[in-house]
This record gives sequence, C-alpha cells and structure tokens, in this order.
Amino acid sequence: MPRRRCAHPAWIRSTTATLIADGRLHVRALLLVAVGAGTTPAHAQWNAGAELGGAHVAQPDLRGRVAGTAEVSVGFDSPGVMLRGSTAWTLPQSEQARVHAVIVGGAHRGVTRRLGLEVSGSGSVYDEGVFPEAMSAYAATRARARVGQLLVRAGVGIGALDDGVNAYPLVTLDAAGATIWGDARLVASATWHETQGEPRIELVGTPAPVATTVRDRLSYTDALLTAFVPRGQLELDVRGGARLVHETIPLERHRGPRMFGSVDAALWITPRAAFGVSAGRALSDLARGLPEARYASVSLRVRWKDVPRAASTRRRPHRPMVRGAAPDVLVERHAAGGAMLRVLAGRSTRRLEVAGTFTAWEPVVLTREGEGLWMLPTLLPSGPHRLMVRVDGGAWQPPANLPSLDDELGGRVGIITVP
Amino acid sequence: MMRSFLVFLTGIAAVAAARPAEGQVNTAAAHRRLQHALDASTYRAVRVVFDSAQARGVPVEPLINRALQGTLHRTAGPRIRDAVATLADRLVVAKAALGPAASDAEITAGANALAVGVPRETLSEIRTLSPGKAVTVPLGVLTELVARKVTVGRASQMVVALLRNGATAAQLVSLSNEVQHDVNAGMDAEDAFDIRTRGALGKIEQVVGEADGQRTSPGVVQTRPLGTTPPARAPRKP
Repeated sequence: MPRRRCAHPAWIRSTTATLIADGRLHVRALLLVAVGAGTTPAHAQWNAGAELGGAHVAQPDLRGRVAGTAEVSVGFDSPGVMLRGSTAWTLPQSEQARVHAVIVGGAHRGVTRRLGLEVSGSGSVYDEGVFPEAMSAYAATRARARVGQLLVRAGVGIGALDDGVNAYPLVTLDAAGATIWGDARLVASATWHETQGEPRIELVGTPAPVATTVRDRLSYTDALLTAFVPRGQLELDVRGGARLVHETIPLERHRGPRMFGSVDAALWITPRAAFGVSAGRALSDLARGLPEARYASVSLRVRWKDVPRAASTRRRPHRPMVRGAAPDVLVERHAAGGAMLRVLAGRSTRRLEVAGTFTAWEPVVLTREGEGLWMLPTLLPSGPHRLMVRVDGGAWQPPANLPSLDDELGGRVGIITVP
Repeated sequence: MMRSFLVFLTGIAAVAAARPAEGQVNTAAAHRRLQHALDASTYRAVRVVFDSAQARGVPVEPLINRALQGTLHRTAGPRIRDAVATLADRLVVAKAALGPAASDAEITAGANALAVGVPRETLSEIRTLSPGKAVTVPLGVLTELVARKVTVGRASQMVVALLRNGATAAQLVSLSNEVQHDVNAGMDAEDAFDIRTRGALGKIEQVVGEADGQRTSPGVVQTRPLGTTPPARAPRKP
C-alpha cells in the first residue's frame, strides 16, 4: 500500500521529453505541465494536483495521433489512513475521450507495541466510450511486526479485473522487510500472483475432440529491492527486481526470469526547484491491468513554497571561524562507554577551555589535537550535560552548534546528551 | 613502622575515596570552592537549600553544580540562590513524576526537562514506557529538542511515540543530532524536526508500503506513463 505524505506543499512539473514503450520501444515527445497544491506536512494532510499536457500517442489504435491529456488527483494522508484518487483523460483529435479513474486507500492500526494490521484496497475504471468499460478491484490485508531494527510485513490479497469481455480473478501473497541503513531506506519484497489467462478454445478429449473453452493458469512472483537515499540536495530512488514466472500461457512457457527496475533522481538546485531524471522498465501488472512499459523522462519541478531539505548527517559542521566566535563541539562515542568531547575552533586559537557539569564547572584546558581541533582528556559519562566554552580567555559562551538554554543565572548554557 | 604503613594506606584510601567518579562532584571540594567564591550570606543561603533538598530526598549534587556554575560567571549572590532554589523545587517534582526508584541522574534530567516546559505528566509517561531502563537519555533528548525551539507538545509526543516503538537511546540521540545538523544548516527547527521524525517514526513502516512498486508523484497517483496501451488492450501475460 503506497503511503507517502506529500513532502511538497505545492509544485509545478514539466516533463520536457519522455520515451515510453508498451512492449516495443516507441519514441515520443511529451510535454506535461502539472500544477498541484497541498498542505504542509502535518498529522493529517489533504493534497490535490492537476496535470495538463499533450502527447504524441503511439497506441495501436491511435498511432500518429496527437492527443490532449489531463489528470486530476486528490489525496488524504494521516498516521493511520491513506486515500488517493485520480482521473485521467486522453483526448485524441476527432476521437472520443478515454478516461481512466483510480482510487487507492488503506488503513493501518497498531495492535501491540510491535505488531500492526493493515487493510488496503484499490479500484479502477477505464472507459473508451466505444467498448465496454474495463474495471478492476483489489483488496489486501497484511500484518506488520517489528523485529529489532527490521520491519517485516506479510499479507494476502484478492481481486478481479474485468476488461469488458472477460473477468480475471487474482490472488496475491506478499512478504517484505525494511530497515534503515544510515540515511538510506532499504526494502526487500516478494509478491506472488495467481490469475488466469484469456479464454481460448482448445480441442479436448479423444477419440473425438470437443472444442472447449479453457483458461490458462498464470502464476508469477515479483522479487523487488528498493533503496531510497537522500544526500543533501540529491534524492535517489533505485529499484530493481526480477519476475519469476511459474505458470503462463503455452506460448510463453520455458521463459527465464524477467528483469525490471527503475532509477529516479531529483536534484534540488534551489529550495523551490528540482531537476528530475527517471528511467525504468515496468512489467505488466495484471492486478491493475497495466501493460509492460519502458520509459525515460526529464523534468523540472517548481514549488510555490520552499521545500525543507534535510542536511546530510555525514558532514561535519563547517562554519567560518571568526576570532572569538563560539566554537563547535563534537561528541564521539567511546568503545569503553561514555564519549570523547572534541572542539572545533579557529586556527588562530591559542587556548581553549571548557566547563560544565562533567567538570563541576571548573574550567579545564583542552588539549590541541590538530589544526583547529581540541580534545578533552577525559570521557563524558552517559546522560545529559551542560557546558560552556571559552576561547583565548574571552567570555564563556555555549558552543555554537549545540542547543542552548536560559541558565537562570543571566546567560545561556549549552546542553548535550551522551547516549 | 606498621602504624606508619597503616596511616599511609589510610591516606591513600582517603585520597582515592575523595577523587570523584568521572562526572560527579567532589562534595567536600565543591563546598570549599563555593565558600571561597561566594560571599558568606550567599553561601549560607545555598547551604539551607542544599539541606532542605537533602531532607526532601532529592540529590544535592545538581544543586551544588548549579551554584558552581554561578561562580563561573561571577553571578550575583541572590540570583545564584534563586536559581539553586528553583532547581531544588524542580528536582522534587521530577522525583515525584519519575517515581521513588529514579536515580539521581534521572531526577536531574527530569528537572532539566521541566525547566524547558515539559509537563510532569510526560515525565511519568516516559517512565512508564521504559520499565527497568534509564530514562536520562530520552529526557535529555526531549530537553534538547525543546531548546531548539521545537514546540513542547510535538517534541513530547514524538519522544513518547518513539519510545513506544522501541527506539533505543542511540537512536534518540541520533534524531536529536540530525535535527541539530539541519538547524545549523539554516533550516527551521520545526521543519527539521518534522522531516527527521517523519522518517524516524514512520520511515520503516512507510517504505514497506512502497514495496508495492507503485511509484507516486507527490500528491498524484501515477496510474501509468501516459500514452501506454490501456487495460482493455493489454496482452494477458506476465
């Protein structure tokens, strides 16, 4: 169940070029301008978006036709509930409009401290106007559990797709595990699908074969690895997987694993604009009635509001050191327990002192460890501490990179917690 | 000779006992420093507060530390006395909120949290969520977050939620450090907190949902790349 809060309160997206394939590679130029609006990230959030564009369509019955496109979506996110719906129109020249509407929703609830249950569902309708409507519906229930630093999930789903001619049932079983590694979010998942092929006539029986309608059993498993890595201004989403086909139509048997994957990169060149590149190959999704596709796109995204960007946690604080300015304090955990305290000060610093709860507020002179780097000779014990630093005999001040409090003595004091 | 040797051993033991454990106040030495740094009336006033606190069963060491901090800045005597008395009251409240089994470090951390506006009910809740574990780090992290201008309500709610989800002390400190990094980089504290906690609490659960493989643009359900074959025409094969 996709569950992502809108990180972008408002945005405009334009895709300057897209290569899309539906089984065979076609080259098309696609210009898309999307305008959306949403609330700031909060416990519950509504968001809405609209897209307008034009496409040179290469579908079998619309080859070479220029079509207008439009899509409207509405979404709701809260800690326990997610709901999204969208409607997309394709408006080819001198042709009836085609409409594809999708709704996705889900709810999650914790049962115990480490166990939760989730139910989700989706439905879609496709209307060409000429042919009967195609519809699909799918519902799933999953259990989630936390095992140490790993979150695992397993569930079962059932659904059906009706293409206006035939109905196709669907059963799925899925399992996934996710964890955090540094700044990266990693997910491994496997989903087993079972459905049926299109009805076909087969001569069955001997000595007088009879024309019988049969439906092939289709069964496959998609194994997927996903990594989302934010690095300062760059956000990278990489996915790769393989489809293992167990049962398929006779003509497709004896086929090896089919690979799929995608890469999506967004570079925030300003707080309000990102340059995006994405490419990938998606295999057919029989649960939602989506065909196989290859695509590549380049886009420019513009926001109406500055998007808060998470600074990398791997950089050391880097600030220009002004003479007498408060230095930065670094705390590094020690294998023996407690932590080492180091201070980054200007290169011209001659003497650096620290005083705090761990020195009974008696000033202690730090030892110079390297250029601009000073060290407290003793370990800080675990727990919260208050501290001040003094450069070259100047005024006592809280370290620049630590939170500070009113010390109720007429000044401010830096605080730090050692794990 | 034996007597001299015993005196010698006694002297060594006394010196060893007098040396405080790392981070602790050598009470006798601290009192000497306070007597030297404070005027007589201020010293008498803070001694009264120390004795009162001791009688009420709260640790005296943080009070001594607060008075010593005042001497570092050469703060006026009455202000030192008021700061020490205020801290003593908070220590009493913190001890009541954290329970009779709370350690001195936990009570001190609780008093620090109360000082920034964390309600005592939150202290009790954190205690309840961490049976048998020290709560000094969660309380310290909560204090840091509020000191960075994250609202008390949000910071309290999130720390409680993280504890409920099994967050370790190292994870809590890591969250606090991440928020600090973002604030140092110029981000608003509330925004930084929201981004980091959005990840810390729901990150894992969120990405498991994304394992469905359906990528969504922000605020938009991406049904398919536009222009692809519609469902009615899709060949039925995996």
